[in-house]
Amino acid sequence: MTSIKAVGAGISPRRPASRRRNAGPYVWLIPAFALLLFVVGYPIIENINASFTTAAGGTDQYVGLAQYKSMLSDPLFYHSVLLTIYWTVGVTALQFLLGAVAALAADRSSWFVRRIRPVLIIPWVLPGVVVANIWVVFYNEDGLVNSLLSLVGIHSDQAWLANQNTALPAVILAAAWKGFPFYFLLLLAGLQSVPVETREAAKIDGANSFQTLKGVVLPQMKAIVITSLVLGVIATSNYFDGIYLMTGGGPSNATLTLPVWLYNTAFSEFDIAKASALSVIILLIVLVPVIIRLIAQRKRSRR
Amino acid sequence: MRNIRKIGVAAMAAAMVLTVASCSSSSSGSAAPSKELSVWIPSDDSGRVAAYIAAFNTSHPGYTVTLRQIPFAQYDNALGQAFRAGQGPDIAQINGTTFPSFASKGYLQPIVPIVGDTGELATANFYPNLYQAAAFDGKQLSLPIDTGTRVMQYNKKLLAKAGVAPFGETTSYADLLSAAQKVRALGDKYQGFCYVGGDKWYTVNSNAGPFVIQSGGAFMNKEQTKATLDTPEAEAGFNFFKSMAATGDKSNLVATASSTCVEGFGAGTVGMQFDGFWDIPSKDKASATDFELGQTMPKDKTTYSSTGGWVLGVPTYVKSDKFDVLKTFVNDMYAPKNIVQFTGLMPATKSGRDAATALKAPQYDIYWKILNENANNPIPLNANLVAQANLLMSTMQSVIQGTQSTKAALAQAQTAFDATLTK
Repeated sequence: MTSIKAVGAGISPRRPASRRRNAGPYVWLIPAFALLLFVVGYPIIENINASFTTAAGGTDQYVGLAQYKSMLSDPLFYHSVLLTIYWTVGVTALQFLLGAVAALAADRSSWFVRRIRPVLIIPWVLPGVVVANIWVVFYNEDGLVNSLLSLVGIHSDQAWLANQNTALPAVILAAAWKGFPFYFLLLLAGLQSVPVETREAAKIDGANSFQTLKGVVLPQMKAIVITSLVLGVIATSNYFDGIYLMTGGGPSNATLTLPVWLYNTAFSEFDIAKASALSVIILLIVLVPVIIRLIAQRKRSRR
Repeated sequence: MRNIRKIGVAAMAAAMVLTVASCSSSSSGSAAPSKELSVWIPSDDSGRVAAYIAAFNTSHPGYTVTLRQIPFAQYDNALGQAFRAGQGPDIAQINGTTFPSFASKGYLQPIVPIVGDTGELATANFYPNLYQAAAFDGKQLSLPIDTGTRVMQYNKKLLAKAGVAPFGETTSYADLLSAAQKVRALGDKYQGFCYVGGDKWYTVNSNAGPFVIQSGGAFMNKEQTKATLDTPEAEAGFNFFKSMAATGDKSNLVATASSTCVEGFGAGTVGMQFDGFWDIPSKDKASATDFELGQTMPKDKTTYSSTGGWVLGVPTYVKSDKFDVLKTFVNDMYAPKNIVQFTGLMPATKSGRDAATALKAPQYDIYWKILNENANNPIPLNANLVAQANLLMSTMQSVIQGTQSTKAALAQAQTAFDATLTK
């Protein structure tokens, strides 16, 4: 014991010099983190706080969970949640499919492909208002869709956005057209990052194109596919402008997804407290794919 | 370490200075009367209001009134956010249909104690129903500025082309429907009756709403405790509207702007529209004589809607130091020659009529007549009017699509409407 004391007696209780040196950069990061916390965290906390209130007498009064209870007892909420799921799955699936097909087709170097690649990005670059206007005209009774149908012998005077059975699929199709270049770009980048040697090795081993794609290319693109889908689901479930501009949530609430309902509640009914509660619920829903992604990532990193 | 401490002390000092500064700048409740007034209105392209404000500032030395104009599409939002934040105009023009939303949240304070009720502001000088529509929960929280009456407008030339005999003084539902169908029969580019279904207020004021009233129906009982959508009268109103809508383009069902109908009416491809005087085609689009505003129903059953006018309100956050300038400004604003600058059309004051020179033409007489009849709002003002309007819009869309029978759609709406009354 004595010898141990003797050894320790001359040593300063301060941390090793190397660790002290490493702490410096973190101190300088504090302002950035504080700013980030303020910019991101404060609005979220304010929003959650507002969801426990109601406007009365010119001020906000605390009502606990009343807004949430009221919303969860409203059949329109469940209708809107189902629509949002239908919308998110439909748009994401279509966009991914179109993007994947386009990426596979463009994953080669030829004169034509080099020139067609920028063209494929145009829908993504166009402003949402422009795209909505284009598709509204397409879907009118005398629009392009009905004209194309008549070319193949199907006479239709359907106003596609004005029918509650066709409005949501019509809006999904328009959104898929607008957003597929996002997947196209990411998947093309993913495809081009797969080492050529691995493909050639598969070819030498006798694998055909599909087998190479399935067994060699896709496993190497798993991370980019999952990341793009998570980002896509988040963006799609929050998508607002296209639906609002094309249908306003109608007809008969057939396209009233949660973001459109949130907008109507906040800026049409001016019920900010109810809208805040709704936005908290949307936040929780959107967090689901993020959490799944994080869990998957952690599991992978443990292996 | 010493530097960090210095920075911390400096930051704390700066925060204290900012806090003190912000406290002092927000103390609007101080005793000294303020001579400054901030007025918000929806954008006025004519420039008349701005000219009036400039004239007021010149004729009232010592007072400074500033005008902020916000585009119509963003106006309700801007007001809502300002009211909620407690920072914004000292007095504002407010859409009569969003007024109850603001009033029910306590965002507006009684205006009469501030501006008085003598001279032009005497209760008797206002059209009674407009004055009533500017009150909420028994309190006069605003003053009416103008009226947003709608009537059936029809294109005489186009109706004649379709072989429709002149309507004359009165017309029945059957006559109107027959005329609309004949115009539609002229070809695909023609619409007998053009409606806009994609905006809640159109449903209340310009679509099914007025026809329910016209048919003797209502949306709720007088006590506002029970919906009355399941009545035969309401069903008749919806059914007639559905028949009329069938002579127009279905795409309008989800249109979010009324411009397509107005443009079509001006271009001579729309036979009829239910609209206000502000959408009568101007002379540069077509000959003014092509169009007529018709009293389209027997005298005791005029098809109209009186809602949609503007009111003037003072937010709750405005303190008493502003009351002097508010009183001076509002009393001057309601002088006949001035109030018409704010409406340009039909002022809510009886004394303002003579100054409304823009509406002297005989074709506008019907609007004055309706004003004199003290037409009621299709839906009585209440805190959940917007939700009710949304519900009616959705119901109207179901009825027009034919996905549900009118009776079934209204029965379903009845339950949802009742829920808005118990909130």
